[in-house]
Amino acid sequence: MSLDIKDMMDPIMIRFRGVFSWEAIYSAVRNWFDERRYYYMEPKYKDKVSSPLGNEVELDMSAELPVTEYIKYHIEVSFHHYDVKEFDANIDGKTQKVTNGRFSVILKGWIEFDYSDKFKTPFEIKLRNFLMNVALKRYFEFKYIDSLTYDVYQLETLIKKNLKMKTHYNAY
Amino acid sequence: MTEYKTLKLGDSFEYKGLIDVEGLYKTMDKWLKTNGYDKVETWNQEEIFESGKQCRWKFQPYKKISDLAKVEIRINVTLANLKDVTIEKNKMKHKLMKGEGKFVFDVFLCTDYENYWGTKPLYFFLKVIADKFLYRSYLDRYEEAAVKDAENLKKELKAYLNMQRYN
Repeated sequence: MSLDIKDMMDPIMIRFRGVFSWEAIYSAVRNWFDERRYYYMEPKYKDKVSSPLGNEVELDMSAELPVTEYIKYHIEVSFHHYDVKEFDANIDGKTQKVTNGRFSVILKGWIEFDYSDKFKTPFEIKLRNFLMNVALKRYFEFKYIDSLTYDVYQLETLIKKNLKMKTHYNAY
Repeated sequence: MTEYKTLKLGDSFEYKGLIDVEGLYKTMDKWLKTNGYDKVETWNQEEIFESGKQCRWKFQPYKKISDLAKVEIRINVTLANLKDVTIEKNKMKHKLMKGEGKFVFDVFLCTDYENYWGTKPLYFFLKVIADKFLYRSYLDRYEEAAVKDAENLKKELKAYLNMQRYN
């Protein structure tokens, strides 16, 4: 049975209200996953007419990357849009489709250890737990947990950049 | 069980005037990095209202001092009624924003953050005894460092906003 470390980082939340290009955000996030060779999945895409103010759109993006035979990265991005209305706008002399509304994005990253189930018997699982919690604890922290955490922050910065938010900067 | 000791709660300052929001965020992020804090940005909100733009940021950066203790600074920033302003300085035009800002800092010292000593009552008892008597001087030193860090960050932000400050 694999071992998931889901609480390795706190979820990051972005909330935004205003005009944005949903197409740009979607393709930027998708490209970001593709460039880093993540396997991409979309477990949920919901678009419903909920009020006269606009649609409610929910989209869950999930991506995984096997780093080694033992370690797999997971990133989950959940978009929840409210009062979505699309319209054409003239930006720099070109007609583009933009969206008005408010939305929240939650980004989460977690690591799955031993995803290929190599440690099976209770004794092997004890050995694995010893490696994870004692012998290689700091090694995994520095090499994998930190690396994934800052990857997720990079993705967050990318979303902010596409939203033209004032905080699209990451020193890490 | 992680034990949080509150060192400072609700330490705040307010500001009204010209703000370079991007620069402010960069200053804070850079300061946290250079001072060895791990970034935890739990909330980042930007909304546009008729009265102007509103930004809210919540950070919980932490610095692990040892396997036993870590320092956590919780920063809440609210920028409200932000409106675009263009100013001219040295014959160069700069785009800034004008509005109000509120900065709140809470500082905590967390001990046993990896929950080594909270699994059994005896371990917990030993940990409390160690914290109170054996490691007291170390923990006091950590507490001083945490409060000093928060003060330095506050000073940095005030300096960036060009506020009057007292050292």
